[in-house]
Amino acid sequence: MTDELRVIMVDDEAPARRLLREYLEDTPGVSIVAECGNGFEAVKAVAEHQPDLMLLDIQMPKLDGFEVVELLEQELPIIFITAHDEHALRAFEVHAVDYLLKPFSADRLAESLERARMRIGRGDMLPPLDELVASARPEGSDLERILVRDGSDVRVIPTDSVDFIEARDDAVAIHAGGESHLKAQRLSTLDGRLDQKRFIRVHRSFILNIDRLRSIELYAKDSRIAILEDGTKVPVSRSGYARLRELL
Amino acid sequence: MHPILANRRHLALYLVAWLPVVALLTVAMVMTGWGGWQQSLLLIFPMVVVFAFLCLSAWYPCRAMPLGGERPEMALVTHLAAAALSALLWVGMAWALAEGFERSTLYAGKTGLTAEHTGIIFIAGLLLYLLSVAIHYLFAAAEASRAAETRALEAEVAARDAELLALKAQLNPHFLFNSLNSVASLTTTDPAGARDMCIQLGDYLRGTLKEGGSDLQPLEDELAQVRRFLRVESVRYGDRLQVVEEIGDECLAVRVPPLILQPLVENSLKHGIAELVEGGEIQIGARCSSELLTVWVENPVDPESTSRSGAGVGLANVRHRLENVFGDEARLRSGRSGEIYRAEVVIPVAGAGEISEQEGDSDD
Repeated sequence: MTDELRVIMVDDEAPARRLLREYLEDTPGVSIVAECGNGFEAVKAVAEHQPDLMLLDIQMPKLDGFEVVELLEQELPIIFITAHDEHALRAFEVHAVDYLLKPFSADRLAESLERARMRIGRGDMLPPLDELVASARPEGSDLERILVRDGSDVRVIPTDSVDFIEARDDAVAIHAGGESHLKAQRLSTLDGRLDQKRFIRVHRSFILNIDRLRSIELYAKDSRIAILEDGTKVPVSRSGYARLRELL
Repeated sequence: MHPILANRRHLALYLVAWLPVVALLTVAMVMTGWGGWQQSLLLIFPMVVVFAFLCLSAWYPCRAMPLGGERPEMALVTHLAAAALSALLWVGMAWALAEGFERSTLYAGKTGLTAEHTGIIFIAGLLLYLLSVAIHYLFAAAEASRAAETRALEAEVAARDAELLALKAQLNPHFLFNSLNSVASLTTTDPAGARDMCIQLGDYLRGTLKEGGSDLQPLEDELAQVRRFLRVESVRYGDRLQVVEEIGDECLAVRVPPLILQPLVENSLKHGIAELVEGGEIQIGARCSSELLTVWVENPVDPESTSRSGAGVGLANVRHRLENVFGDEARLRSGRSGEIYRAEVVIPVAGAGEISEQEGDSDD
């Protein structure tokens, strides 16, 4: 293979980055296009450099490895790196994702790079990332914040501040405190990860934070609208109303 | 489950044990002149087989009213009544069988039971039933001791499991593997630093192994272990980790349970410094009066981080340790105000376990 593999490496610990750089510099056919110390930098660097491969540590400040994956706008082969994370390891095994356990040898890294090269050559990327990210979290842990991209920046929206979420074609609009943020995600994926006691799918295209609910009004036979504290109206389907009644 | 019916071998042995009863009663019938050997055996054998099974019912009152129960007189009355009832049933059966014999053409002569025969059968029935009660109590006692043994074993296994979990948490695999990775990194760029890190890691692990027990130790020792931990971590975090200590000298000798400070410091790194891109400063403090020691750990937190799950385990362990040693005399408080998270432990200075007992004598 004559093509040079353009790699981004992401790790918050300087000694770990130093070691990785040392290994990569000794590997022929690999060039480091960016070295990032946190998830925000990683998301930006991917957009900027369009690398062939990312070496991604999981435990990092601000955005962890999985959150970085969630925010990527293109499919990108990734080799995950971790010292110890039982949930993540199980997810990697299930989804046949390549990963490195710290501390690892230069040979072990070379093997992973070779595999990645073959995958890129064949054009097969990664398993569905939504599934990987969801299964890498400990069971029963609800989503506590939603990350959205704002240009090359990342916005963190605590789920507490979310009023309602609306499906829009292939994306969702997250309404929080009078602002709305678009995110490329399916409503059903988001629905599964939110606290089921607070966020209710009141309609095929709407999820509602019941803490914001002021009243429900009958609008026509079998159809209702929920009125939020700020006066916003959200449609409620019959099955959505049943789910709401069950909870209230 | 019935201890005899549930096990074929037990049942066979039990039935065999009734054979001498068959022999004795047959002899008694012959001696008292009721009939010949064959005739007596024909009467006694089916009676004993039926009674053997009837006596198995003694298990249920035995289990319902165990020996050493609250009302022994109730148990006695119940068993006596059951024995009398069983013996009466047995007498009835004997009468019915004898009547049958008389009607059949097999036996010549009179086969009715006299008062003497009836008395023998009733007394035998009464005694045999009570014997069966005694045997069932023996089984019940054996079963209870087996159950107690099983419970003790299960408790032991649970204790071992808990110990193993604690050990795993103490070893802190994430910390260990990351530290080894740092050593690997330092070997080429800074061999002397790698050596230092190995030594510090060794010191820390040695301290961890020593802390297995639950004996109180001076705060100074706990602090030394915390410092070893932070020295190793500062290689990983570099400039991102700053540590400030505010320890009153008078607190150093106060005896504390091991591992009350360590988990708080680990949390402050994991949920504080590690979440901050720029890092920050951990403050470790101790202050004491003649009665109370207060130790605290403060760290900055990312205002955008929504207290991610997992912080509870370390705190729960500390709370558990405090409860074990001090009952409700110790307190663990933790919470966030603004961008600072603070965890604080307050414990009585000389109020703990063996210390208070020793001093209690002189106070009297």
